[in-house]
Amino acid sequence: MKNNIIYTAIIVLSTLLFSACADDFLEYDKYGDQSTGNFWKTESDVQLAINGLYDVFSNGNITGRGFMWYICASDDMVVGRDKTQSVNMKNFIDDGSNGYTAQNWPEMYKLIAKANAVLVNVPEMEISQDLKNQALGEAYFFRAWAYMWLAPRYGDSRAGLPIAEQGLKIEEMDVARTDNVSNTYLYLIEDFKKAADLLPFFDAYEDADFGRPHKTACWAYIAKAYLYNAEYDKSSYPKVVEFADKVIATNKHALEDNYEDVFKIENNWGKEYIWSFVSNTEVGAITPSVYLENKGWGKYNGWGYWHATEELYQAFEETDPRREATILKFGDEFQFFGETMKYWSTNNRTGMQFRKFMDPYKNADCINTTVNPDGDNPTTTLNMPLIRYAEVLLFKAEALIADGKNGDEPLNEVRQRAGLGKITGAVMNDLKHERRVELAGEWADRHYDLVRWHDAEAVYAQPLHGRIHENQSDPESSYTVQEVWPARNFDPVKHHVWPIPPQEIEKSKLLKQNAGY
Amino acid sequence: MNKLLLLICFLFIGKAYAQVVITGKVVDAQTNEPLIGASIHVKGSTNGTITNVEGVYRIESSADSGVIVASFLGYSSQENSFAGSATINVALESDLVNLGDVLVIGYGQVKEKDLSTAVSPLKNIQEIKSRATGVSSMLQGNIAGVNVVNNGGDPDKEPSIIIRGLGSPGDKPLWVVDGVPGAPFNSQEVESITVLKDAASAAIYGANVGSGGVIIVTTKQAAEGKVSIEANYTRGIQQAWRTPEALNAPQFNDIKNLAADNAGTPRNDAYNASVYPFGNTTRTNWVDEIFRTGSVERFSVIMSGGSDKVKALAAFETTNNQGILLNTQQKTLGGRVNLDFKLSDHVKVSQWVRAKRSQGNSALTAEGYTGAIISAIYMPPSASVYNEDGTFGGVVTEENLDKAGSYGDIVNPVATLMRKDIYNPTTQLHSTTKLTIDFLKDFSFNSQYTISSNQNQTQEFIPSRPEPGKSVLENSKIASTYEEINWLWENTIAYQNQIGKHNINLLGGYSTNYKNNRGFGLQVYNFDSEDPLLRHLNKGQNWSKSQPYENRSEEAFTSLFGRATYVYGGRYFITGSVRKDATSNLYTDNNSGVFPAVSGAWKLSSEPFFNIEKVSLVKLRASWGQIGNVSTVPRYSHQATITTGRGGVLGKDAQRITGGWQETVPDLSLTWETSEQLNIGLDMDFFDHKLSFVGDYFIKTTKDLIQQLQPTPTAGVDVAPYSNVGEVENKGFELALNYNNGDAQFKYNIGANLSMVNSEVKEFGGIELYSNDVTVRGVLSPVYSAIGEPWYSYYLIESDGIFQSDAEAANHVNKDGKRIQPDAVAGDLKFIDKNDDGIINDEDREFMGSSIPTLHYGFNFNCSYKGFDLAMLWQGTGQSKVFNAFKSTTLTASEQGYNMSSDILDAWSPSNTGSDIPRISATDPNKNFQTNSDWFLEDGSYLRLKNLTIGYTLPNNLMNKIKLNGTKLRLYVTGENLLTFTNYSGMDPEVGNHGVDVGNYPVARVMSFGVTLNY
Repeated sequence: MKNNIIYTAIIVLSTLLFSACADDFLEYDKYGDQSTGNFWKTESDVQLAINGLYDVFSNGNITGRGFMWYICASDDMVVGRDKTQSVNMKNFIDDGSNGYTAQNWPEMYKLIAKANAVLVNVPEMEISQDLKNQALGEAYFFRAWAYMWLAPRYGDSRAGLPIAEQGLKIEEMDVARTDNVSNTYLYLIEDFKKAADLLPFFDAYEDADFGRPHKTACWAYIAKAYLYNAEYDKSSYPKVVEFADKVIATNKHALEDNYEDVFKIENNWGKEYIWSFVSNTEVGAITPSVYLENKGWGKYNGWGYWHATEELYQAFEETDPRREATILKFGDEFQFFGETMKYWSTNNRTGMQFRKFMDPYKNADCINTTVNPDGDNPTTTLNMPLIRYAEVLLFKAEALIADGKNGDEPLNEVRQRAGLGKITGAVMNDLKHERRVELAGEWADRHYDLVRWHDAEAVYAQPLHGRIHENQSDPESSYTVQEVWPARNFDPVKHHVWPIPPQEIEKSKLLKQNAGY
Repeated sequence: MNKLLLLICFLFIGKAYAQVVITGKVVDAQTNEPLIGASIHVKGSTNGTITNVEGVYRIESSADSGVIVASFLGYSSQENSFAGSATINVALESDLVNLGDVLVIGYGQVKEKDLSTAVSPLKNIQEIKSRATGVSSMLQGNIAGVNVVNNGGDPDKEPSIIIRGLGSPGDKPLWVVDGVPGAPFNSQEVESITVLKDAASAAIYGANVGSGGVIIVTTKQAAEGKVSIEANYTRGIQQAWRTPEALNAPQFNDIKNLAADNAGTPRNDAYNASVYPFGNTTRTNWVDEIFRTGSVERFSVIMSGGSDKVKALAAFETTNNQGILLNTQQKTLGGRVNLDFKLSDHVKVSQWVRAKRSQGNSALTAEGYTGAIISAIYMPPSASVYNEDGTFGGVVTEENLDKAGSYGDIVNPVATLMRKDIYNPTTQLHSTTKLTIDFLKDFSFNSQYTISSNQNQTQEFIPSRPEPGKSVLENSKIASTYEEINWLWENTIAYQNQIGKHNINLLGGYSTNYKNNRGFGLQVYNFDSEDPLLRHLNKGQNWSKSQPYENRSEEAFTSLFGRATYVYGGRYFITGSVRKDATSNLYTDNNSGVFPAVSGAWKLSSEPFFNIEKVSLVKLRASWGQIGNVSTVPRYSHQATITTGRGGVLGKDAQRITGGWQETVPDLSLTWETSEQLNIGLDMDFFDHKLSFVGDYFIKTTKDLIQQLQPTPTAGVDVAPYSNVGEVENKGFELALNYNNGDAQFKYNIGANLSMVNSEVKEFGGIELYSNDVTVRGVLSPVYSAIGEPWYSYYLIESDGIFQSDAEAANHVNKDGKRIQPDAVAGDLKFIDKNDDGIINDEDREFMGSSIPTLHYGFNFNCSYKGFDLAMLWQGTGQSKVFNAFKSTTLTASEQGYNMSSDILDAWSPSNTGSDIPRISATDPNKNFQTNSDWFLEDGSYLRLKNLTIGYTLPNNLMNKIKLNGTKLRLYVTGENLLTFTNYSGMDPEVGNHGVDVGNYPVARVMSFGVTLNY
């Protein structure tokens, strides 16, 4: 009798147990996040996906330093701190593995993957045509924009970039490099063209959408891409002019009246704006603070990484107001945390700091209003221009001059704003000079200009100079110009491109390092 | 569910209808001591009882005559027939005259000498428990094949335990406490610890084990009889045994000026004593400022007692460990109540409630920019810990702000340590209810239900860092909480029978496990005041900078398992087990796996023909088994989710926007990782079991290894998906020797163990090697894993000393006469161009070993003489390397105004050519300190006097004199890490962080005193 009860109990127990292991006991849906199964259904899904494209702007390794280290290799600046990895990059003896530039590649391919996801999923969705156009337009723009960052730095006539086509499965994702970077430029130009067709003009955007790509930004980038491609294919020059003209012809952009106003926070969206990193006191570009005096005279954690050279100072014409707007030298007055200061620095290598991006620090209450209180992520509310109208004019001028035509008009428009006299029959050297002084310290990339003009070897064979002051704490102190950076060995074949981060090469069976690295 | 169990219990409370009563006493045949808890049953019936504290039993039989069987763990059972009521006294013969102990294994127990698998007990547990360290460190050096590596000396960090080599990089052993995986326990309660090393023994625990092995802990259980009390108090101090030294202020300036001169760069005014005399005065020895004499403290009480029907135990323990770096500590509070109810002779119910709370404060040290110890080197010696107004000092004072830029981006390490304001208690609460029903005489049914809650609350205030150096001008507070509810229901049926010479043991079971996690957190910025009284969340002004988050997740496992053991004549042993596991963490189509195991042993010495006098045991063992593992797979990894981020900024007024993207591409074919292990062992005892030897050889293969395979460089995948990508082999051997001898007065035991394990990654997703991303300031990345190498190996460029002249550097050319190091001059490191292509780059790297030692050994000596006892443990490792990354920033003058180690005074110079430290220079074109070279690699092996304990138990007559009859009082002193012999030049060779030492929290030397009272 008792045994029967036990048996019964065991059977009951077992039944209960096994019912607990019904299939649904082992299946759970994830809380809190949508999954691809229920994503790409609504308009808000699409909005979320395109907003995800901008996430790259919060990565200080992209918007603050990263590619900027490559620009630091130019003759406009020196590395402001003893920091071997930075020094070695400037001296062209870095292997690409250092943490400062290792994220350039993977971050851009992540952006490409995000854009590809939009391009794969959105066309089939039943949503408003306006949103569909906007979404596809932004996706094409960002995909092209990502390639545009990588192409001049890692690709040349010996090898282009691997193209990650949309819709590839993860196992098909290992892609070899194309045989010439020209292919990459032509590929990304097609994307920019599609984007230009789909996107509105900047002035059609609501205030909240300022910062989204627009038609003239696409055309400006197409002009830039053709200009870079012209190094390999001269037939690109007329196309540079064509797309620069498209921007100009809209009459939607113009130069600011005063050069120094270009870099004021209130002109973030001024008439010269074409495309910038949008930033606030929490996320965005940290570049202004990377330029700022190391430790900001004890008031703010400036990083003091890039100091302007005497060579850059001397490159300006004597009467060019852009010089003092660009460079802060000993004794110059400026506003800093509500005080009028005269510039001096005990640690500045050249005795000169870039002044362009100091607007955010001028007010006493700048912390939290124009400057991020977090000195480890020192963003500001100054949007960093990536392409501005002046550069579009210079694209056009360069293409015309390099193509043997007259580029005086666009060139002089830039000079006129600076109050300088017109040049007639401008030659490449005039253009090179103008491009240098107008865009110094900006993302226009002086280093790559020297490389594509085939000037780098000769320029870098000269040492760089700075002003060594008698008393580094005294703004009025006298100085002597001394060599602060020795001459460098630039091999135009090898150093035409930078090394792809070796960490990326390791992940692939097909990706090949640039020759010589 | 608990209700159901109780209901069933009540159903079975029955009473046997008795006619005949047999009573008697069970004693040890040799000592005549009563045996408490020996089991008595009437053969052929379900009638059974156990003896009480006097060894007396009383049993009723429904049959007039029959046979009663008396048995007790560790003794041979005895049968006596009866006819009518009678008194039958039984004297049981011990079958463990040094025949070893009974070990608790998965869902059962077995005599150590009858093992067919690789299972090792922790010996001398009572002595070891005197030690001031945690249970994990107690295992260090004590068991062959169980390799404990301290992750530095941070009081809030646990050591890593690697059993038989790392199969999957996430391997951790499973702790099973009184049959409950992961239950909390206190060190003083520990009764025994057994380690299941091979797959065949661990397989029964299945899915939770992986290739990590199982550590079974048995705690003191409630015992019948008068109330007994055991109390222990230990207190001691701890100190660093070696600390680094920084340059003083004049030395710092001299080196910086020399560095500028050597590099041909202008000198900096800040380093000129006449321009800036303030910077030439030493004010602080930062290393002395951050270290302190720490302390350890532990108090515990265990009480137990009860009757035949109800037994109870209560235990409590509190510990307080104050680390050797300022403000680092860990405190724990734990307790347990255990009640056993005997409802009838066949039905028992037990209830355990366990709780443990821990709260700690660790220090960030393994970080090359802001780590507390390396910052103590970087910080200018002219700076002060505090400003005159009591605030923390920066690299310069208020009056000297113009010199701030001449020093590095450095944090004041005292501020870093002291500012930490964290409250983060973790509380574990476990309830286990167990029902045991014996039925049909040889069957036993067990149902055990555990429900646990694991909670954490974190509140951390992060003050601003206004002082010049690496300033951050905002403050914030983090608040977060989570709870995991976990229930596990295990049901097993066991059958045991002895038929003639055949002993059969069967076990079948089913278990279900469900976990539910919930949590949320937020970070609030911008507090007007940092007054400790005003650090409340509601005082924060900015609630929008960081969005709150919420987590909620579920997972479940089901397992069906069985085991059969057959023993013939005490000579032939064979066991087979099989287990089917299924989990919600894998995609439905492939969420289950079947894992078999088999083991066998032959006790040659029990064969009738075996007759070698001095050899008391010879046993051969072999086992093979598989274990499934999904512990590395996160929940929902098979679902492609859309993650969101707020990195983008848009709009005229630059507002943050929320964007979403598919973070990873899930691998739906992901299935169980399998750890397969073959073990062959030999056990031999000599001289009447006084000397014993255990030897094992094993091959552990981890197949279908689950790892995040790095996506290709064009995939653009944010987070690498989990896939079955590889295979890892660990093989090696273990030897253990033990000798114990002595008489009642003087007893001693000498033990030695040694293990070697060779680890090799056999396959990894078709790629040759990948970086483990253990970086030093984003510059050095020395740790890689690759085919043919162990996990976490060093992949480095070989260096070959220092160029003694510029000419020597110029002559370092490849086969084509090309200069290999065009920027090298005298005093720079010479690197070997492995592929002879004339360039030093990653292609010249080669594998140079790993931080995980391949050789571990330990010796222990224990003895007791009258009331004195002594225990000594030496422990060591061999063939392990440490990457001394501390040198990369503290022995170079090319790092932006950082102070340096005083060792740099011995750097190479034309007048000091014997040095192995490269020349002093403000630039480093040769990349002496930026190259992943073996110049940083050092021998990390060591030999330590891990522990020495001396105790004295007061004699009984003294106790009687002071009216403490029946009380035992033992006093002891104990020391940890008393002596260390190593060639490693850093603070301590046990650095954690995969062997990359950035000035990691060092292991401390501990001295303590304790007293144990038994009543």
